[in-house]
Amino acid sequence: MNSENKVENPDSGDLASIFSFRAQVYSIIRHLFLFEPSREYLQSLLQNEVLKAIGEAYPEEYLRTSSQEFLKAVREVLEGGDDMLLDTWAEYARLFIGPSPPIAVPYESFQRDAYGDRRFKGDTWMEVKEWLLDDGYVLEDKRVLEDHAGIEFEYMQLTSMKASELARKEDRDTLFNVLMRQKKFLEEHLTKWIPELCSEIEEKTKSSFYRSLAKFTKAFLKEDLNLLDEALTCLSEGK
Amino acid sequence: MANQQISRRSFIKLGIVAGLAVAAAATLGIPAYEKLYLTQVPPEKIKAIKEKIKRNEVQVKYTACVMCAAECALEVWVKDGRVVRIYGNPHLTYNSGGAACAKAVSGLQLQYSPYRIQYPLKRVGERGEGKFIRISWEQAVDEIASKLVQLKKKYGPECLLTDTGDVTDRDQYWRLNFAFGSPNAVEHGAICDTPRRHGPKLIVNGKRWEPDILRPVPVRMPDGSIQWYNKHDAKLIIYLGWNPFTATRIVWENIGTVRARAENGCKVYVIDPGFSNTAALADKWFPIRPGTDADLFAAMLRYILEHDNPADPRRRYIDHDVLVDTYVEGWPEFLEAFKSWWNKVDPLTGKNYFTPEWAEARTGLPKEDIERLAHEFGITKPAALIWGMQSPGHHYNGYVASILGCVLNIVTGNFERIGGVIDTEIVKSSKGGTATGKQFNSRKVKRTVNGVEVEAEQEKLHYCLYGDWPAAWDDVVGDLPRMIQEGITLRYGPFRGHKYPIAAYILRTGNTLVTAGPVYKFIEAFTAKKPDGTYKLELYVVIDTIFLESALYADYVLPEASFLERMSLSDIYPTHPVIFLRDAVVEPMFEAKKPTDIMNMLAKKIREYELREFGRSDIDPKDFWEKYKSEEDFVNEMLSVAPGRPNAGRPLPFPNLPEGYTLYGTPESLDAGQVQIDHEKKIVRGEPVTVEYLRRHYGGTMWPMSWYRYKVWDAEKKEWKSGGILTTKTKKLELKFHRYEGYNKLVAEAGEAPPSWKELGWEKLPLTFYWFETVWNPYTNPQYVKYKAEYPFQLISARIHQAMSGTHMCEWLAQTPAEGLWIPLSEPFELKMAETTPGGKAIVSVKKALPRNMWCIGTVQINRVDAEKYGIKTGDLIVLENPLGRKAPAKAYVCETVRPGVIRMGFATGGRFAPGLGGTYMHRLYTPNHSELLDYKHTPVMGQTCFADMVVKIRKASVDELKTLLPAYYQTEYRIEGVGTA
Repeated sequence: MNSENKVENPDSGDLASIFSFRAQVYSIIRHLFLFEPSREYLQSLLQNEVLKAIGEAYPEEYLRTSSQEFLKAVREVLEGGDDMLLDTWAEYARLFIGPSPPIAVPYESFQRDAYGDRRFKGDTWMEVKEWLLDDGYVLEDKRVLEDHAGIEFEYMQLTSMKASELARKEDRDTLFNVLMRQKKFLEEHLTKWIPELCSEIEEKTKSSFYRSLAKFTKAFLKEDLNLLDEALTCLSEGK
Repeated sequence: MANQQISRRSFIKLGIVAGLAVAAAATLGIPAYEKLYLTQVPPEKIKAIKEKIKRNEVQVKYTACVMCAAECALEVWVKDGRVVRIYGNPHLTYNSGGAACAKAVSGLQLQYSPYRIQYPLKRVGERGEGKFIRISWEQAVDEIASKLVQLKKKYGPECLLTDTGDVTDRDQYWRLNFAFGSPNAVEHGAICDTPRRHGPKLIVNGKRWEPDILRPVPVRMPDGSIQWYNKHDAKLIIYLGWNPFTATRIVWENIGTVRARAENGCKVYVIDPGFSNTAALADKWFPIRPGTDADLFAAMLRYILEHDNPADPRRRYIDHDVLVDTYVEGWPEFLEAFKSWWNKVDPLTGKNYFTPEWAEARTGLPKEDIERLAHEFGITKPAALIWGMQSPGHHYNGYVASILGCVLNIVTGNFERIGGVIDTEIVKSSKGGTATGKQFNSRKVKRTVNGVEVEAEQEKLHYCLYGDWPAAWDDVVGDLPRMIQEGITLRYGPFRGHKYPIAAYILRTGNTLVTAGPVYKFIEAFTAKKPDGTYKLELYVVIDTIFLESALYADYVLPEASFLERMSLSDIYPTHPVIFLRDAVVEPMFEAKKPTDIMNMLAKKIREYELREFGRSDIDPKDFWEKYKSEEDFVNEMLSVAPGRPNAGRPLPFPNLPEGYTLYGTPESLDAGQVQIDHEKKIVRGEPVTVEYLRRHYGGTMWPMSWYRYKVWDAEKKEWKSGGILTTKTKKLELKFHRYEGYNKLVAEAGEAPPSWKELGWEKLPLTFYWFETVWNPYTNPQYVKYKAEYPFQLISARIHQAMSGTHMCEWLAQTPAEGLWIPLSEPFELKMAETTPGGKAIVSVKKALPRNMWCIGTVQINRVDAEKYGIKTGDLIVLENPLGRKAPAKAYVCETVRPGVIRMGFATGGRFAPGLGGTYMHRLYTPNHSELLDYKHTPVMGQTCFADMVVKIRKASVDELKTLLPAYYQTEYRIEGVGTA
């Protein structure tokens, strides 16, 4: 960029908002991978300003259209009444839980470990567990495992919240480290398996709700990595 | 699309937009974040956890396997809360010599399978549609309990049938069932091999006769010490229809057969239509025609009786010292009844019954071989004649073979002889005791029958014993479809005339739909509806770790803790008292719960609903959650009756204790005399065996072995008497079947024999030798000769190494070929697997196209001579069809290892439509499900499905035809992933 078009770095307040924004999006994705959506939750999504704003905030066309598609699908489920809600819950089970073999087993070690020996608590599970420990987190609830997609999104959510707080306090050094960790986690874990998982869901789900969620999740992850790159660059320049 | 990365401008814009959005979200009061799973913990705790991981600690724990009914002792390595290795337990060498087989090790695949049931599920589609939603345990327990109480109100608690499938770990569910008020609780034994066990039950109150080849065994020495006795004494073992090397549940039989042969020159003969792995080791294979085991045994007995000569050492077959009134009840009558057939002429063969010529015509074995078998068995001492589960256990007339098998062993003096034959049931350690809850069945209950109020014990409501199967002491599950469709009418006992439906079925770790009888019959019953459109079976609950076909039709599916996550006691087949602890070595994953917890949760909720509905409850907190605060409490109560066996035999296990008294307590305390003796009840009580005790002893313990345990020395009269391990009415080996007397009395009081007895022309059960033919056998039963020409093949099934219908989900086992029954003859298919990218930098998921013949599938064996007649080669697709019009596809395996005129297939190896079975599921459309080809036919008296009685015709088939050959439940496209697409 030449000096005439030089753009100033975002201020701390903007950064805090960005990271808070990210935390909210991760919170949504996290919830929908961990749980079947209740009527109340779906209604809250339609009112969620963050979701609505994604189209405006991000340059990536794909992310904009996928978020709009997702909101449309949410609306359809709500308008479909109890039957459609039940079908959505049944589809959640079919996709992620069973009892038939799930279409998209939402566990990283299943998706990435070993030669055909796909199972829970593989080596990648341990890697994720140790990663979380390194950042001070433990999973005490045994109903899921550490490498569940929802838990990995939860990690991103929590660390985004932390980043927001650090930005507000203008603790740029610590913020830089937190963002680096996030970037690494995206590169070494989330983007290694979630995009493909989402592609499987898109291809095989019967539900437009989950199809659009999968598209949106894939798009957001990709953009989030780009965003982190930019944020880290900003922080480096500001040092 | 242009690569639109976030630029600095767009990043700033994002900040502004985000700021507005987040602020707006806060204004609307929408909670930004909800309760999360991850907890931030203090650095010192993190440090402690990381140090623990860094130390790379492995915890070594001990438990017992469930991958087959051998239930071997295991050593399990646990690291960071996950099981990383499964080995045999080197400290408890019983059963496996301290080794673990491939089945045990593949338990890891079950434990960490993504296809295991993780959460409670509720059906939302039709039964069989496979459409479920996840619900909480609270909701599941509430709805199930509520429904059970509604049904109790409507029909009485007896409308509940609890089927605990596998024998092991069932006690909590039985306790709940009985306390609820239903006497109807069954287990796998009902569909396993009741005819096989019939003779032992009648004669010694036992179950399974096995050769005395478990070595080493702990034995009392003359100097009082216990030493390992490691010598083999058996000189001849005859296995009829029994295949320890592939299908055994008794690993020591496998090892012992090899050792006895190598170390003692023991001869091994295998009598089987198939050349099994055991036959491959044997000295001779006798390829008997299916369904003729009783014929062979009868001929052997006749030969022995006719040729026995105590004065000639070359003909001294019979042990006349045993065949005396002291030990054997009813021999003269048995002999007379047996001999009464000798002059009768068989209408089918024109020969006199039980002669070698007659047996030759029936069995297809040369008469010289029959005589040789009889002579060698008679003259060789010690020897063991062993008969199997599939045969005669799955034949309509299996009882006859079972009785004759026992008699052959007894008359030759081999029962309880060192190196002879042992009944594993009457020597194994007792377990269960009052924990199982059978005492609830003694409660007095009232019913109004034909307008009259009747009061009697709860047990008198039993759906079989007072229904159509009064002598089915192992219950009946094969006939469940009819019972669901028609309901129960009690024919016998004080509640005679009382009617009730089977309205609720709780199935735990069983797969009745596939393993209990014709699949279509069970599906018809589970989906049958009443005129109002509701299901006849109003509540169907499946409790399991893995999802099998039976669960596809359930209303609720509850996740039970796997065998590595729960505590119980193993149920094994030893030659002396042995007990292993099944210990929970890791915590249950996801929302799986232990049986004790499930029992308590349901009991609590049932009580709540009963109090609300009836103002009282049959469930007392003191019998459930107040008494059993943990599974350890429950298991300790089960252990309180260990070993529960007599101090009998030679050498006397505990010479310091009274002979013949029943022993309870640890072997150390009994040995040390730290006991209390009750001379009135003839009981000796040492220190109780507990979970803690077993843990201190590497997970198990055993008491000394001895032999001739039915002979007890009466010190006062200075003579031997019969008793000890025999708990028959007379305490003798009963060849007069006193056991039948009670049933006869019950039936006589009603004045009408049950339908299955009438099939044989019986108004009462004969109290001595009897004979009747099997069904669907054109070589022995004139009624079926008409099918011989058009249906020239007898159809039999055999077990392979995947012992249970559920273990197919373990892919490691899936890739081991077995005996022409499980062979890599798959059609091309795709498999998703993980693979490294070039350079090994990353692991990616790839779909691989596997060509033909890469994967093991269930196949059928057909003899080369037969195959040539039909132009069939190995790998050809064929269709099997029985006279009832039922069809099944198969791939042929042409060989010389099966008798001509026989089609042999694996049990539960094909046509499996539970999607979690991976490759086995994918190949369902062209692999045979044996249960599709069955007649809805049950053995008389015990109601066992006649798995081994059928004839078929075959022809070549095309792939296109096979796609539509099978019923809809095979065709349904349940999604599977991780393994490929169908």
